[in-house]
Amino acid sequence: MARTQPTDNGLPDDGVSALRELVLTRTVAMDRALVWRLWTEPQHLAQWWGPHGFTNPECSIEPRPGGRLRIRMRSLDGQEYLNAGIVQVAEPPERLVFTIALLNPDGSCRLENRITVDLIERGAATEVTVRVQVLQATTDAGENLAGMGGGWSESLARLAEMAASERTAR
Amino acid sequence: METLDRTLSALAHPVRRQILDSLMGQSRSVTELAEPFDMSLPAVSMHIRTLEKAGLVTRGRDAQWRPCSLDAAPMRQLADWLEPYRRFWEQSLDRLDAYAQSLREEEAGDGANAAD
Repeated sequence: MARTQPTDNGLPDDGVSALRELVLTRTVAMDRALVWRLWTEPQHLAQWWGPHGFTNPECSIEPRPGGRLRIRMRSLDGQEYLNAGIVQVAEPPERLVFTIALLNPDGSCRLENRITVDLIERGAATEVTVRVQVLQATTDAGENLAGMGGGWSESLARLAEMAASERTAR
Repeated sequence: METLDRTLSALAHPVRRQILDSLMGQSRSVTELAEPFDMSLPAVSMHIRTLEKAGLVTRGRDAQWRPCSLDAAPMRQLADWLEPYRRFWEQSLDRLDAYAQSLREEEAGDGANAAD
């Protein structure tokens, strides 16, 4: 797994941009078309999404631009966490981009991230690269979600716009 | 959370990220910072003020040109915020790998049964 090493001032040596994102890479011994299905079909996604010991009693994903992603995770001690987001890019079997907010049990939300998944063929295996980018810290998004769906989709639309404009600016 | 919001907003602009990059390890004047950019000095000053408000940049008091320097503390805080997400995805990828393996074994098992 690639990880930026901090320099002596505590910052990554490849600049401040690296502070807003994490990149993780894993090679999975499976055909790329099948790995794509593990990411985009709910019955498969529910089997592995989340930290060790978590199960996903509710899992849905619409792998198309604008499609919704919604996963209810349950920890070993029964705490439930809702993950909600919007699919931005779905190019089978290579690239999946979605926003995701990991919400605490009380509905509060720390950060919203954009996840970019790239699948690269490595012989019979597949290299999976996950890029986690911080979009924005939102204190109110969680409250919106806990209360009503409306505010939440507005917030996501805003995020999608922001992400798009950021890409253009680069 | 407010500090984090300010840090993220400040980092959201490519010009401001480049300014911070060029401040790593050395102080610089506003004029020096503006040099690589095709924009007016006041425009660059505005970006520097945003970075100052976020606590990412401090201005010297002594010298007349008030050199800008980097304060990394807010960004270290951001790195701390990211840590849980790193764990989340590391463990998810562990599980993806294990799940893929279980599917392969299942398939191999089915194949063996079919051969019986």
